[in-house]
Amino acid sequence: MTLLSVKNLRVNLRTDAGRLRAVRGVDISVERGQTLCLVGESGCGKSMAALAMLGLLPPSAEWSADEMKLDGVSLLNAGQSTLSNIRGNRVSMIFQEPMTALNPTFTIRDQLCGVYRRHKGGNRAQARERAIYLLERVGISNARNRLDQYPHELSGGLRQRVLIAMALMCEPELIICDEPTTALDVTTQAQILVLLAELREELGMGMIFITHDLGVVSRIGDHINVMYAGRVVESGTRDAVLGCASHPYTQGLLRSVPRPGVNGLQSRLGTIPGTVPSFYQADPLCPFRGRCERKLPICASQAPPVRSGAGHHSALCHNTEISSIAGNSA
Amino acid sequence: MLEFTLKRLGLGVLVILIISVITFILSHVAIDPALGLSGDSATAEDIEAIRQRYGFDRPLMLQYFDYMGRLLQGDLGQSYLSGRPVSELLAERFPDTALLAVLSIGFAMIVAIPLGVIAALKPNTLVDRAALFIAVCGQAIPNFWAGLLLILLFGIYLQWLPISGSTSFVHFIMPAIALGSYAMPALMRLVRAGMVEVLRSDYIRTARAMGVRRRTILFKYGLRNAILPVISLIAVQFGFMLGGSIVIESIFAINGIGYLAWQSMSRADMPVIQAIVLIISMIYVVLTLAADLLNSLMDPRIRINR
Repeated sequence: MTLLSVKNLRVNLRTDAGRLRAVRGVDISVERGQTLCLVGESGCGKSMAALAMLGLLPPSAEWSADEMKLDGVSLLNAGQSTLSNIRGNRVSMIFQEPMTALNPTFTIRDQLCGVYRRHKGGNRAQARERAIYLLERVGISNARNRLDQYPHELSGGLRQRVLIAMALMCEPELIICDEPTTALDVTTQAQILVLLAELREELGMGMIFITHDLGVVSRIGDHINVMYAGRVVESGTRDAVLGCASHPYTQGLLRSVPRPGVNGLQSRLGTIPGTVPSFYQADPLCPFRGRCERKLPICASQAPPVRSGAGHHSALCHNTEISSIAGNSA
Repeated sequence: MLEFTLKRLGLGVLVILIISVITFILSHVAIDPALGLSGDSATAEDIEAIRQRYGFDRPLMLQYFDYMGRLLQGDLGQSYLSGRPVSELLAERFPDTALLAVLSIGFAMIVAIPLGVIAALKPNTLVDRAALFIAVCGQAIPNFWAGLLLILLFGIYLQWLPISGSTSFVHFIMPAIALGSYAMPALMRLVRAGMVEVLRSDYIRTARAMGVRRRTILFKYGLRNAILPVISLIAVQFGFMLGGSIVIESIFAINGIGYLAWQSMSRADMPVIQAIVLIISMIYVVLTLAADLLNSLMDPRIRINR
């Protein structure tokens, strides 16, 4: 059974300038033991979609969906207490800013054990054992002594490891990582990615990985949803989307990745001309039409169709043929 | 932690020393102490005699060292007016002022902290505005007027509480409310501001994402961080109250330090004024030190390198 299945998710933010349509009908589906990457530029709604799934949206936000099921059980009408029992227990989340994501006035032990005892009960010793085990598992040496340290005594990489350990305290079935490596230096970034991939494998979790970094996607993703202006414009297996990108936006994104040896010193890095459309108007037409180099007259009058190919590979575009054969069916 | 405490303690002693110099110089420069002692009917010879007898003709420096020498032995001098030792006067008056201060700051905290938290939970709603309204009222209504209103309502119309004196605990209820409601608004605003900021922070989002219960988030994770700046303000306000409120003490006829200070000032009773200023500064120094220590206990980041 699909671990998490979300259909037609919409998130609006009430702002002074009107209703900002941050997420406009997104489908998300994650299987156990697999990683779904949500890829897109800043502001495309990828984080908002993730926060909506956990009931963590800011008070100014409102959301709706046709379906939201965790392990077959609908969460659409779940109250805050139900969601609160799920968060950190069955579904965990890791955030972008390890430097500020830990409470500065409590020790690592307080914060890790607090989560465990909240969901699993148990006594202090059990929670402590679990915390030490996980700190060691996420690669923190001298875990016993680290327990009594405060967040400010740890480096950014260590703090992110602590946060990963915290997210794993209750053995979640699904872990949502919102750009967990963006704030870290490249070496640490690589280590954390390897660690996350290993842990997912070991614990058989599903994972949603939110990033704008296509390099990270190619290393960790099984499935990819490419998001643009609050919609999924292309989705499919990693090999299909990265190997046979069909949507003009995905192709543009791929052209803008520097490749040592391919882009010579003289050649310029690809860019996508134009800017993101306004988020305030409801617009059923293709959100990318203003910047698209392959646009047709029909793009300005009719909503784009979903073109599907092998292995769940699909793109939201009038002017594309899915030629993918690389996609392994999920 | 020990080093931090010692450093702060040393600084505190230095502050008190400087204040003793300033109060001493001011009290000897503002008015000729011999004039103050001798009274209106004294002749020039009388004044000169007093000046020599008390050593006011000697260099200020020597007089200061004498004063400090006596001070270190616990001798605060004698009141010019009553002739009694200043320490005795203070000891007589201080308990009433202290009780009033404790009750007032207690009242201010009991009102300000929950109100601030509630306002922070629902920013820019009716609840927030109501809390703001209460705060503005507390800030805008002058002490003496609030005191008089309380006396009218509870003392005269309802006759629930005694309107003056300091003989029983009940006598302190109205003055504590009047004095506390003046300290409350600043506390409440600070709690609200701190709480709003903390609730927006990344670590509260982490706690929510981990399913931590709402009340744990609010009262454990949130308040502990939001309360840090509030502690310092409480210390300052408590110090202010321990200095005695002249207005409140006179309205409710409480014979405290504030009333004593006012009496001494109006009759230039320098030793008493000097002693009161010094004691109040010492109280301030001790309270800020206590607040710093409490803060560093609650916030590990302060403990290092300070």
